[in-house]
Amino acid sequence: MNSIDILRPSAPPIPRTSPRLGVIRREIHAEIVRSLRTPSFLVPTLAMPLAFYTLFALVLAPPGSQTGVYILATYGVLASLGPCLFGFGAGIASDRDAGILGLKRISPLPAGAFLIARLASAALFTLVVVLALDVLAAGGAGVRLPVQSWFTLLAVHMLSVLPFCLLGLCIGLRTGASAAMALSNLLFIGLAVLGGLWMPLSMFPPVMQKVALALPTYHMSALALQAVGLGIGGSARVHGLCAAAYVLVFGGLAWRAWTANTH
Amino acid sequence: MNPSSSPAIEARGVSHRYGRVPSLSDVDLTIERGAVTALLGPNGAGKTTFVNLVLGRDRPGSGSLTTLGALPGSAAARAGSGVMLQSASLAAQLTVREHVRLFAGYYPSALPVGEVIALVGLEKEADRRYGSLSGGQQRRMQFALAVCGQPALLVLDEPTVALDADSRRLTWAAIRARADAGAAVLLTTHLLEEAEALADRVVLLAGGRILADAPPRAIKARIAEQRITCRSTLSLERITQLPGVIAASSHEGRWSVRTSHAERTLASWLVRDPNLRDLEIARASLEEALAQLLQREAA
Repeated sequence: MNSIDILRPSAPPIPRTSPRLGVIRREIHAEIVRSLRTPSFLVPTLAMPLAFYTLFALVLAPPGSQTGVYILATYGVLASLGPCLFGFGAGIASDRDAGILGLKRISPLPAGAFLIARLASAALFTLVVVLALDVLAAGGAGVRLPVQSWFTLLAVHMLSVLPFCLLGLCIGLRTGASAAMALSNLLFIGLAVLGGLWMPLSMFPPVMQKVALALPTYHMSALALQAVGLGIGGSARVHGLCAAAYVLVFGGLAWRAWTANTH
Repeated sequence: MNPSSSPAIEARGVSHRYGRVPSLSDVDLTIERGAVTALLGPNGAGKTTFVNLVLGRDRPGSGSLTTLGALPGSAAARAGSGVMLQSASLAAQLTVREHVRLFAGYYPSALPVGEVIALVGLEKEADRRYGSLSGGQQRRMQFALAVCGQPALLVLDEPTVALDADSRRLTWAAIRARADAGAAVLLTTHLLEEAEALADRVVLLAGGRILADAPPRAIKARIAEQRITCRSTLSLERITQLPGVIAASSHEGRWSVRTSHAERTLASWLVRDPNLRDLEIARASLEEALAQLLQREAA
């Protein structure tokens, strides 16, 4: 038996009635199974933040430095950016190309349930990587934080899923599969580097630091850094409002794309 | 209106265009329950456009359209519809059984999963992933999802394209069974044979207009032209006077004759020219027959 067989769902009985929640739960389950059976997506997206954390916080960081804490905060944001852009956004684009989304939209499935299922799947994979990062940080890099900080950090990392997935949705609903993949790659690198997820913004020239102010990754990482006591300026309130504004903007654009094209 | 007594589909003066190109012009069509209605027409006739309107994937430019008494694409319309699209794929990573279980869960009175899989003859492939199925098996899988919920309206866009003869018969039987159970079945096809074998009613569509709406036998009589090719010493004038002949021409000594009654044409021809040879008879394509029908109606 290979590892995939273990993932095969056991056979739940088909319910005679279709309560909405049951339908959405089964849809989420199906989406998770799909992702697990696509290792070419799963492995790089999940392993990349962990591999880089190991390298920079465990291997290369000088003893006694704050690196382990700092990049725990920023890589957690990175860990949600990957599944949102590649798993969710580009995934929607390829499902749309294949006609899968179109078929779901004319099926009796409640409108949007398919998107919710894919969103839940992206959130779950984000959670797995973020928790693995936390374990690596606490166990490997010796990061010590108050319990409340751990939970605040986790909340910030998980809330990042919302603006990033809505951004992915805008791309997924507007572009074809290959364009979405290319655009996601560009955005992933651009948003990560310019938002200060790779290296502290203070290492950048002032112009680039200004650019960062306009990026959702910057505000999410600022919130994450504040949670671990390494605030990089600006109040949590302002960063939170900026992140919320991104949710509204990307949400509005995604809604327009969703209603403009029904296929 | 009581949704279970309303017509499955009611179109009144429906028009639609893609950019400046009209794809449907002033279509009136009522699809009743308990019968198979075939939308027959060549590529570009407007069949898929009509299906997209019925499903709410597009909106008519003018006219009114209801599906199961509701707005096309609304939750009420979707809840009672099962659909097989012409160009839709399914998630490659999920198995046949998982797909059926998922879709059956959308409907309140779905058939048991095993029964659906048997209905389309995919028992041996039940635990194989969609991505590893052959083209014909994938089409049968899509058909299974359309029927699994026992929907009141079954919409099938070219359901038997890419199917081998056995699968086609299996699919026809399943479609027939749904109609006999009271469902409205709307299918599109460009094959006269399919419409003839399956449909109670054929709506002939060309250039976005309804050309004819009749039982298959009557449609066939109007468009089932045949082409006789042979060598004969008869003159053009005498050939065109043979019974059933619509048009005749010759090329390199070989006659090509279009007729509405090949048997009657040939019977007279053989009396007048017993030395007729190199005989071939073929059914004219739907496109040819429709072009002829359009010409006749314009004249």
